[in-house]
Amino acid sequence: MFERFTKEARQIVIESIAAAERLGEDKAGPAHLLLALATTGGAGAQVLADRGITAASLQTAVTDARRRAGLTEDEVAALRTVGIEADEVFRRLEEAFGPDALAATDPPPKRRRGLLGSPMEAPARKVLELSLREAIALGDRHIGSEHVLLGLLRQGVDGPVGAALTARQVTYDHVRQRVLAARHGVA
Amino acid sequence: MKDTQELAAAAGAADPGTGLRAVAALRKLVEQLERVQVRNARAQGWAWQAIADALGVTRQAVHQKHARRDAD
Repeated sequence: MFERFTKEARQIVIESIAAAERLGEDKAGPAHLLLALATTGGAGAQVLADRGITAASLQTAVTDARRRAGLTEDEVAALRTVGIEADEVFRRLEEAFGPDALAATDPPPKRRRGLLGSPMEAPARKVLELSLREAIALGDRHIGSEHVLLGLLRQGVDGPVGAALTARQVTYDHVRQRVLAARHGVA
Repeated sequence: MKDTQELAAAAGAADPGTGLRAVAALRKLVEQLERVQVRNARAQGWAWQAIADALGVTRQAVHQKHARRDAD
């Protein structure tokens, strides 16, 4: 399958593994692929950028979610109704214990993957499979970033990064339409 | 965010949905606070018994909940 990957798509895979490592996670998942896709650029990243999603905005979403220790926007709002300003609580904790006070929700994984273990989670590998399928369905011989993005949307992306897609209405149908439109020169 | 404004506007309102969601969120926040504080206390050499006393729970309860993390 990998021989069909464009240089750009390979770069996305490599970068996703690096992104997972930077975030202290054991393996790359779909969210890391999406981060990597936005970082690497190309047709897929362009579709995201047109909806206001950039590598920087995704990174901010990840950082904010970690800062808030897993509390959602709605939960922070619910606390406000009883007079608790959660952001102020977080601010004070960071002041006292440093910026990572709340980030470490779980101990960092002790198990290091073996030499033969995949650096990608099963759902991320599934995304790559799906991107191959998307390429075939579009009659393309090679897998580019736009196919990876379609694969990601087919598979679904968890967490704050995935929520950014939903919030900006980046759906499978939207991306596929954009890809087809670009082919016919009406992008 | 519209929801946020609506929720804030409902402050003090006797709506059970809003009130209960606030309780659930508060519980989550308490868990996070406890985790941070226990970790800090352990880092400063506090004994489990002392931490349990401060939290008002048994030594066993606090140990069971936090010791696994502490060992890492």
